[in-house]
Amino acid sequence: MSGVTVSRRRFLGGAAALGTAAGLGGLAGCSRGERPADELLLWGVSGDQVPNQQKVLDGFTAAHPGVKVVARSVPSAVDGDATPVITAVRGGDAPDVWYMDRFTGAQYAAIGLLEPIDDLIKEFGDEGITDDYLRFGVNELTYQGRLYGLPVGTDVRALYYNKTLLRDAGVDLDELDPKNGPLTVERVFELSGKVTKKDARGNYTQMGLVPWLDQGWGYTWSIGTGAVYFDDRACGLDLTAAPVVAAFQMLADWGRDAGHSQVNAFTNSYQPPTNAAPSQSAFLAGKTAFTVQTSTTVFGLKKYAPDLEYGFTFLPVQKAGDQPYTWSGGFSVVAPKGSRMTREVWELMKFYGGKPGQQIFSPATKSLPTLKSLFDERSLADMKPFIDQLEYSTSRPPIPVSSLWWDALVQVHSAMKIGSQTPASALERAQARVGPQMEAYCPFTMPEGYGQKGL
Amino acid sequence: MTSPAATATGRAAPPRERTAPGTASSAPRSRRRARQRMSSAERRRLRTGLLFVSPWIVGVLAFVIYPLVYSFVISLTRYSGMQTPTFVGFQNYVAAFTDPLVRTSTGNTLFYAGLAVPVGLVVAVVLALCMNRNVREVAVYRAALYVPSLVPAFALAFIFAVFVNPQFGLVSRLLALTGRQNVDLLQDPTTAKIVIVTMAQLGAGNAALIFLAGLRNIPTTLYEAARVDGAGRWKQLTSITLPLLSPAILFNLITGISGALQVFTEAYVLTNGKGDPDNGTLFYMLYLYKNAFSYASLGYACALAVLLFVAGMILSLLVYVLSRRLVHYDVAAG
Repeated sequence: MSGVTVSRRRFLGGAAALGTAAGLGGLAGCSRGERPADELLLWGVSGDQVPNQQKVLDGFTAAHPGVKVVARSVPSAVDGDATPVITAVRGGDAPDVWYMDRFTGAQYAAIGLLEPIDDLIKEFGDEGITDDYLRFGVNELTYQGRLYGLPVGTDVRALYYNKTLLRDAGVDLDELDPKNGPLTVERVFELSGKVTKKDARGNYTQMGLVPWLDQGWGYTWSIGTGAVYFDDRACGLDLTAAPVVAAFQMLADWGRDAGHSQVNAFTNSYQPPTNAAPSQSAFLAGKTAFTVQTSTTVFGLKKYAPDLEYGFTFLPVQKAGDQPYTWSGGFSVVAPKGSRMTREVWELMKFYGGKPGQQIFSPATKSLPTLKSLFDERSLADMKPFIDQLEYSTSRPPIPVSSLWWDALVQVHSAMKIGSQTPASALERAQARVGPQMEAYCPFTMPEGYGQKGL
Repeated sequence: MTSPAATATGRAAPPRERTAPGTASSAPRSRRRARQRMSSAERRRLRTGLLFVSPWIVGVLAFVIYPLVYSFVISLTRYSGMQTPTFVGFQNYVAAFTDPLVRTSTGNTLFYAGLAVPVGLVVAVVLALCMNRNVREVAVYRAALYVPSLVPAFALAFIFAVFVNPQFGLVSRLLALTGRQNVDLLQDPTTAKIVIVTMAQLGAGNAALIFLAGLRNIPTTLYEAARVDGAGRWKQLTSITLPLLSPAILFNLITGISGALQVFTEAYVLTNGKGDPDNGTLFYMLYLYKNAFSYASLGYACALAVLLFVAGMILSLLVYVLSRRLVHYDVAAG
């Protein structure tokens, strides 16, 4: 067989050319092709809410036949970890619309991750669109006077109770009826004492209220003690204010009396402290008589513990006669930097975050609507007791260092759970972390009406 | 015993090349002369050689050197990842040296490295010795011992969370036999770190494979000679196996230290990125990651990364220098 002679130089040259071509071809393949104008990319919900989101998108495409929505399940940056969206934006492949935990809205707006939507509102003649929304929901998406998204849903915190455990312990359940107003923290601890049980080795086998479990933690109790956290005039955060210290002191005192290690061993047996599946909770397992949870919890109760006989009432107050209190979070639809900001994008945001979307999404997911005109919807009748609590609610402060502030509070809480620090010293350390970072964003003022309860 | 290599091969190992004191300055001159003396054929071969390794060179330049330099440049700025960086000089480095959480996370990381690296080496050597048994079903043992290393750290973390469950986990069941109360090992800063160290041992299979290759490289004649000399199993292990495994031990030690300084996944999964309890598992890389992607302080995170790189280099160099007298390359060289 006669072969063609190829010199080594020619072989290497050819190989190098081939390699370069393959490399460039590969890189070209990685780059995003232009999406058609009528095809929108949505980074939406994940987990068991995907089918409910699909109902919203089906409704949207039915109303806008020429538009296609490609929805991807991307876990939202609940703890402020925005790695996926930062990477997508920097890589030039940002979604048009992002379903975002709005707690970090001000932070992402401050670092330039989001597009303001004021121009879209003006361009498409939707001035006044925000009038029907809960004020605190809009405020969470406002930074330095500009609006960055629409709030999709919200929640409130409430005290849930296990009727069976309390009845078996001889507690009169009428006392817990919301019509009688909120109980005091002291009274809830008294009732808890009646249901608490231990085994022969001293392990808890049943408890009442564990005040650091679920949504019951330093921040929630601090709203009850009157904490404000942000001082507009001084442009500063104060984590060492007396109401904040008092709330965490309550946890420290309770932990010392109940035994940190014993309580953690009990609760974490049924509910891993992190990454617990939605079905894993000491309350769902019927092991605690009380828990502080969000209104959305009724979704999990129905799905994972359909036989559990429960009720809910206001969060316990410091002293009898105090006004009820709670706080709210929730999600939003925003446009990350790089979104095409077209009419179609705005239509999707308006549908998802507006009346048509919330009429589909809220009843299915048990999230509360952010539009006041939906409060009396028949499909939300079972959530009405929670909706009624919205008048006592407000959001967390929409500040440009929200993740850091929240993280610092979570660390203080963690120290209370194991009794490793005093509240005062832990909060001083948290203040030292957060205070200087906030100063870097001053002058900064909160959106108008921040901190005021009511609709 | 004499040098194992000399016994094995019947000849002395070649003397190591050493540079005589005072000859350092003559080295560049000799290299220059060598370059001048290079024939056209040699130059052609050099070009060909460089061309063959060029993909690696491009890879190192693009994915190692460039990010390193870029990280250093960003570390001198205040940068959120989105807006234009603002030059702040060495302010981020000054902040790192006064940040209490840098101290906490460094302490946690050194605690982890101090435990995980030596324990990991011992476990890997024991695994390699088991994999090296001269029995028929050794292939099954090798596969069984290596399989845990294929399980992602993410999945392992979930398995361990069940393993140490305060009431239903195996550890608690054993504690219950002694009549002690249930304990949540993940709610104590020290035991939580020990749990993560233990979890890391399930990935020892990779290091064990390197040790296994080293063991297979030791001539059996050495053990035969040792037996003739009356050496027992322990003596054979300490005088033949471990000395001749020393290059592999050094390699695994350096990569182990490097890996331990970058421990991240286990703590991230077990604590949902929080570093609980009370920052007890806040490792250096976890704190760096949170600064970069949760707090949008990329400049500060890059400064932390540069400091980690420098610390890693110093530690590796230190290990390398200290180990020169203890590492035997004789079998590999012979």
